[in-house]
Amino acid sequence: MKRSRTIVLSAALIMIAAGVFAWFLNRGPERVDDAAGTPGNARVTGAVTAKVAPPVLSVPAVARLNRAPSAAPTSEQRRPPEDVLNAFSSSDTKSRWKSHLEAGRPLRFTGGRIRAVVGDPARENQLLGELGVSLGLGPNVVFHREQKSTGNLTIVDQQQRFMFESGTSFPVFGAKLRVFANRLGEIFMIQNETRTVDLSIEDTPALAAAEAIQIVAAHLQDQEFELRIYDPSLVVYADDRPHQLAVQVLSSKVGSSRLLLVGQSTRTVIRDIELTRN
Amino acid sequence: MGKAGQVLLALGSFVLIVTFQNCGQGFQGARFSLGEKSLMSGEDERAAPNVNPNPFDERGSEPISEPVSGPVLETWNDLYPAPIAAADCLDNPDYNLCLSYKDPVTTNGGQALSPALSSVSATLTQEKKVFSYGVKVPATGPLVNDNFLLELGGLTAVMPTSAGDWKVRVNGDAHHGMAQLHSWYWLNREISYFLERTGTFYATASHTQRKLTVRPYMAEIRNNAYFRASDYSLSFGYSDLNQGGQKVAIALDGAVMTHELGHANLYAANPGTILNDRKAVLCFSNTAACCSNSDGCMRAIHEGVGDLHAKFVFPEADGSMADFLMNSDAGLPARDLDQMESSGLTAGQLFARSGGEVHLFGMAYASIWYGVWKKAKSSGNEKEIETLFMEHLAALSGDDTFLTAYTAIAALADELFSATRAGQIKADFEEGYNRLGLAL
Repeated sequence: MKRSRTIVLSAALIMIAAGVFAWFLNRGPERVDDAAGTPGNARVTGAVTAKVAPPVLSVPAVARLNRAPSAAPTSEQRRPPEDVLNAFSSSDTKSRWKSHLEAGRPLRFTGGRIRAVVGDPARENQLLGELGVSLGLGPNVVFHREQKSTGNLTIVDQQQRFMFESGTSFPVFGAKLRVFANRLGEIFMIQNETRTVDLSIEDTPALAAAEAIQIVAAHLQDQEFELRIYDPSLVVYADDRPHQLAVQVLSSKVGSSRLLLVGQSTRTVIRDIELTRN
Repeated sequence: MGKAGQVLLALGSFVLIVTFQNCGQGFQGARFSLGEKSLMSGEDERAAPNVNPNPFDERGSEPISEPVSGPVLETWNDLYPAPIAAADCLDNPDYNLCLSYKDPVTTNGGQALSPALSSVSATLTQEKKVFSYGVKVPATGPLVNDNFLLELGGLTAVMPTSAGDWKVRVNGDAHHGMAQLHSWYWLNREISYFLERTGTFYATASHTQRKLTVRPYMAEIRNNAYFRASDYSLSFGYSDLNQGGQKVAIALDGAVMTHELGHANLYAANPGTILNDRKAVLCFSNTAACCSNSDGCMRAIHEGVGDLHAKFVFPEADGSMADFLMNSDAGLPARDLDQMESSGLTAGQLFARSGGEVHLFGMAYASIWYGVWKKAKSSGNEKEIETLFMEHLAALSGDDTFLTAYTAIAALADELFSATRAGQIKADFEEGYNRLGLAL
């Protein structure tokens, strides 16, 4: 009896602790201007996270969330992305869109031309929604729009986020659609870095920052690294299965800086990225 | 030994350098500590710059050249003009800043520097010879503008001499003022070069909404320099390779600097080129990265793109890399674009011989671009290729290989140029891919 009371008490304490950390970690998704997975300047260690410098390419002034369609069609129902793009193309152009695959996944679409879409929110959303469906992105996808110009082109980034039933959304790590338009606003190339995310993914942040850092420290086996929680602290990781929420941890030392993703389901380092190039 | 054999030998040598260049670098206390105590031994703190009104006046009776109309930088935020050759720059009042073109070894006619151009051993004669490209810059410091933030640690920020110019000595300067000036000017010049010629550069404050931090001299970094995405910074260490036991500032090597800013530029063009790069694997005792097959990978493209930035910014110099770092006109022979082209190596052969090490294997991608650029240059059209190059950076992704990158190149060529010109450029690229044995 005494033992079972102890177990219940312990479980309650763990749940309270988890709840506190979940609240703390869950503050991240309130920001919608984080570029998914874009390194920022989080400078936090241990169990405290602070919101600090914005990510490199954040342009909050033009932020807008675009929802994908609410129903996920089956692969049989989906149109090929090239067909979607051709349907949006001007009838007076003979060009046809072509999909370039890498490892079986559409990496880039070129060859066609779509007019009067960039800068027209309704048409942009329609194209985004239909293209998202054709890429199998499912209903829980929202996009965060950023527009930039080069000397010759306009680039529209649609950062992919995954929205849970609760209404909170997290950036999908490394996932975006990048649309290239010429000076006339005509789309001529689309780069696909989106991910299809499992709908069964757990939505409750349940991995404490301190635990994530401990897991990374064990993974690195090198006490010379300085470890910090990165900004944004939580992302949806859908590069490998199981898809899961992941805590981003930055490790730094002279000559090396690594971004490590700790999966909250597997409680392991699921991605280790060297951020230094020499 | 044939050219392919020479390249093989060079590849082997460079793999050793790449493998061991980080030996001995440990995290020592606070990050980026550049305290004076950590500087090289034997330094003379009293010999810092700004003490002598004209540190180059030992031969003050030398004739001063006729005034010339040289390049002028009005403010630190303007576009930086290319310095012009002026053999008497350090004695010529028309210029208040004297730099090397590409690097001190190249400016020295390709001759290795002996003694080394270090703060301990540099001679006045050497400095007059290698800092012989002049420009007129603002007379007041510090070095600040919208695009860069110099982070000096314990070093003192370089300021004008009491004579009112920026002609500081290397010798006796424990604060590496010349390294500060050289990195500042050439990094800014790189941005200016591409903006003037192509209209595009991504690693600018206007594009990223933040400054790129530059650490011109880090005593903790041996034989290395790097871009770091996590804090958006460039760091330059010292070289003791072929330097007669001395340590020289890598920030004096313009090709290395512009290469590193090339990394920053590609990252700023699309962070996915680092975050989504999954095709490279650790290799050579886990100290380096290698592509896993001969199609190439983004990490190698990153290196090739860096080398191309360096080549384009110094169009009049040869295709070698890191001449000053290696104190040799050959630099790192396996990174010489001209040698790569003349060797006739295919990507498959290069992959086999380099193990896919990304710096070496990235030469395959760089070589394709270099060939197209040289052909365009022969007819005065290289600016078009530089424009295509700059725009294609934003179209690269972490999943790209040498082969898939062509799909972006072709689409952009069709968009940027007339149908006839685009067709010619695409044909030139296809020829380059064929030369490398890469079937599109």
